[in-house]
Amino acid sequence: MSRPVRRAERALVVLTSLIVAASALSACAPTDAEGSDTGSEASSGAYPVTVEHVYGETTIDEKPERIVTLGWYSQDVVAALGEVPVGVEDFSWGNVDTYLPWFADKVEELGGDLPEIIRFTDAGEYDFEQILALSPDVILANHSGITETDYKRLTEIAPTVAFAESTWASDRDQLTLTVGSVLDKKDEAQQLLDDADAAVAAAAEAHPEFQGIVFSYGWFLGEGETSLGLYLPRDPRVPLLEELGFTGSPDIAALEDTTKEFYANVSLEELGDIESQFHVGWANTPADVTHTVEDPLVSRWAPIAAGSYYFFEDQRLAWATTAPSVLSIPSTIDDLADALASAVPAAN
Amino acid sequence: MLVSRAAERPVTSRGAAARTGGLVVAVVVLGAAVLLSLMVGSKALAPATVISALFDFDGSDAQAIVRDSRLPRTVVGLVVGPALGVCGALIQAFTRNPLADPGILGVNAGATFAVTIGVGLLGVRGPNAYVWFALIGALLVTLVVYLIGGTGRGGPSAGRMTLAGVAIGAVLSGITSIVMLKNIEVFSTLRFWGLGSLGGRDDSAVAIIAPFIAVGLVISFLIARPLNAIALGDDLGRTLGAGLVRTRVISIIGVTILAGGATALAGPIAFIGLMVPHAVRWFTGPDQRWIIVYSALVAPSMLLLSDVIGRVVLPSGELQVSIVTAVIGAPVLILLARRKRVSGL
Repeated sequence: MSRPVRRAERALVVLTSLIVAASALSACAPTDAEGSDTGSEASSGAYPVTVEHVYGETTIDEKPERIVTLGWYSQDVVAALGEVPVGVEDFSWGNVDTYLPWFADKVEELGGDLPEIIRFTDAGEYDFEQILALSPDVILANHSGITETDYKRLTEIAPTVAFAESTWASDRDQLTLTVGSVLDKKDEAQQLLDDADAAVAAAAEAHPEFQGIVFSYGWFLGEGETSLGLYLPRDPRVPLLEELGFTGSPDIAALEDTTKEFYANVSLEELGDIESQFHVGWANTPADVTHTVEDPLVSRWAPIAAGSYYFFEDQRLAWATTAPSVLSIPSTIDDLADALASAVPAAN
Repeated sequence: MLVSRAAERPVTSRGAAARTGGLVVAVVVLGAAVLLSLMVGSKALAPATVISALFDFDGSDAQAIVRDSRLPRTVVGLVVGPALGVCGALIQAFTRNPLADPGILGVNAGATFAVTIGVGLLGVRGPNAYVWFALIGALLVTLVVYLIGGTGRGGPSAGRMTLAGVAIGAVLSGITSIVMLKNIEVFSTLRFWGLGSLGGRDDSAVAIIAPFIAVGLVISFLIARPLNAIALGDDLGRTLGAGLVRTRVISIIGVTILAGGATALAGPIAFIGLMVPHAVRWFTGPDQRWIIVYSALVAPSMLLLSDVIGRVVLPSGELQVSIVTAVIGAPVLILLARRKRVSGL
């Protein structure tokens, strides 16, 4: 649920017919993806570059000029490496309009034009015609939810790089270096990673109170919902908060075996068994937050009962934790740490 | 056609004694379903904990699970279940279509559409407001369907009404989808309302809806006998003195209240309204009075059992009851379709 628009469109299909309700079951089931770590086998400066990902291997024969990014995250890395994609997804959410602010700033700095927004069809699929019309040299979907069918269709348009293992999950080092190798800028990619690591480390140092606080990160409780969605360690949100000094809840980490998704749903009956001292969440409206924290069972959960929780009201910061890239981190990590610091339990 | 159906009747119907006995069984099954719904959930609780939660609440987290979650969702099941079952029975009798369900008259689509418009255009929030939109939407659609299907040459026709219902339902579902697709906030607000579930519902919404559904159920029992005459066909029904128009109008009111109320409270839940009256007819035969009483008892049992399955079937988290009923309902529907003889009306 972390990606409102895409999920909205996909889940709407569920609402439109009864039969599809059954197929939602399979949508909830673990995907069959048996991935291996995406490894770049190319040394700097040498094409072809071959990238491994969940749907196989993709070879890029020459330096791509026209880049389309699908999902989140990749577009930040591409821009950070000095290239402007020709097509990206819409990031509109709350106070974020169309483009992530740090991405738009970087494009302006590079003197490029803001990319076209990739549309979705009413069936919730990418508008493949539009992608074709952009005549990309490469399609980067390193942090996305593309299906194998999507992948095959995209491959007919241009060499496509899918995510490494799980939908909407990626590792900062691995993703950044993969994009770096595709663009033949691996050294620059490493430099960006070092800078981002240093920025996170500085923010962590400025907030020693984060040390050792066991946290959970999830979304709000919807009307009629009886489970709470919590992000698993494979989602980049969790490692980012760990880098800031927080400790991931071991109970949530244990759920990683139950699903291949980037999140796990926890029944409200079992929520009390999930260790957490500090809960981070996002919501679309203040009413969503109220509904969540006032639920009779959620309100009994340790971090909520203690008033030790933080729901993002600034969607810019929520995005900055959702896809914490080498581009977003330097411009947001201090604001992010300050926002979290405003809500962490005082005495720890 | 009439003759052959009449000839089948003695084969499918049981004696009054068997039907009364069956009723006792249905009540016992419902009691068992309620118990299961209180006892079984994602978290294993000792029966003693469940009992003291109900009668001697100590404020502990374990007992809160029973009191604040399992009990309310069981109550929602007991309110929504009979509404869905009886509504399905009414629609099947009134359209003389043994496989009809509330979807077929566009009632659910109307309720969902009105709530979506309320949230999307009028900024309505909260289940208490959804209730009124759902009821008004259900009523308007039913009236429009009745006007389209019920006027024209030859007077009201069940077939024409069904066609009108399906068509309007499709149009409204389409518009609902467009509104949701274009407005992400509406979508996220209605995400779980739109997937029918018993849990996580507002207590005050239950209090508002339950009286409506009670009225709808009473209406349904009252028109069971005239519906029997309608089942014989318009001409024969008329000669038997059934007030056709009156019975139709009352049926429509009943369907609107029951389907609109159930949808407002728990979101759209399919298959129960189709499956339960149909299956019940195998046992009771074609008498609407029995069908309605049995549907009112069997539907909540099925709904609660489906909800219990949804709580325990996933390794982590819970499945909405509407998904469970669809998964269970699909094979049952295939089974029904494969039977040589549909249990007719």
